[in-house]
Amino acid sequence: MKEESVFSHLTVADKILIAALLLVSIFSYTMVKAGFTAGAYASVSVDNKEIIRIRLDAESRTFNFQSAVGPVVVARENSRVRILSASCPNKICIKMGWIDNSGGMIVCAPGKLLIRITGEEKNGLDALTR
Amino acid sequence: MFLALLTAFAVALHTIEAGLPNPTPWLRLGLANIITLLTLVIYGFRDGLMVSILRIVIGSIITTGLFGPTFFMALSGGITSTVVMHLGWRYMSCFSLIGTSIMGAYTHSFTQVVVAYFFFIRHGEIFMLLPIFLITAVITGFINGLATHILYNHLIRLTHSRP
Repeated sequence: MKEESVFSHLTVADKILIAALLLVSIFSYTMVKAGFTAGAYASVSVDNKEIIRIRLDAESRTFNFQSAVGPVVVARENSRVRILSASCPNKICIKMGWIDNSGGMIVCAPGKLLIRITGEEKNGLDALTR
Repeated sequence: MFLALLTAFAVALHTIEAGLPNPTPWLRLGLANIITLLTLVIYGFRDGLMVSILRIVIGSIITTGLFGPTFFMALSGGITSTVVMHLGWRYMSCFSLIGTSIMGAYTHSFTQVVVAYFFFIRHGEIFMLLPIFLITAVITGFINGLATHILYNHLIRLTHSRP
C-alpha cells in the first residue's frame, strides 16, 4: 500500500481555494464585529450624571475626568474600555478590567463612577430555531 | 436504477449523522453530500439535484418534521450547493473532487445562514456565527470530498471505466 499524505490529492487550485475561503471567513469575522460596534458607546457617569460618552469604534486613546474621589483615567482600545487609574483606595474598578460591546459595566463605589455600554446594543440571539 | 440506491445511501447517511451526539447545533458533517457529489459527477446535474432534494425531503421526514425551518434552510443550502458543485466540477476542471466538495460545503453553510437571517432570525448577530460555520465548512468539505474521491476511484477500478 503506497504511503501518501491525504493532502496529496489536492490540486493547486484547491489549495488556493482553501486559503481564499479561510481568509474570507476570518475577514468576515472582523467585518461583522466592526458592524456591531458601530454606534455603541460607553456611557460614563459620576454621581448618576452622565459626564462623557466614549465611542467604542475609534482609535485608542485615554480620557481624563474627575470622579467623586479624584481624577480617573479611562482607556479605549480595540472597541473596549477600562479604567487605567483611579483615586479610590481599593482600585477594584481597575481590576474589573475591560468591558466591550457584549455588555458589562465597571463600578467605582467611592468615586460614584459607573461605566456602561449602551447605544446600539446587540447582545446575542433572542430566538433560536432548530 | 442506481439512483434509488444512491438516494437510499444518502438518506441513511443523513439519518445516522443526525443521530450522532453533537454538542454544537448546526455544525454538521454533511456526510450525505458525499453521495450528492458522487451522483453529480457520475450521472450529471439533473440526477445529482434530484438525489439531493430527495435526500433532504426524506431525511427531514425521518429526523425532524417536514416543512419546519430546518427543512427550508437545508433545502436552500442543498440546492445551491448542488448547483455550485456542478458548475465547479463541469466548468472549472482545475479543481479536484475535494475542492468541489469544499465549494459545495461552503455554499451550503453560507446559504443556510442567509436564509436563517431573512426568514427566521432577523438579528444581525447571526452573522457572528458565520466565520465558525465557514471554517467548519472548509474542513467538512475536505473530509467529504476526500471520501467522494476515494469512492469514485474505487468505482472506476471496479468497473474498469469511467462510470
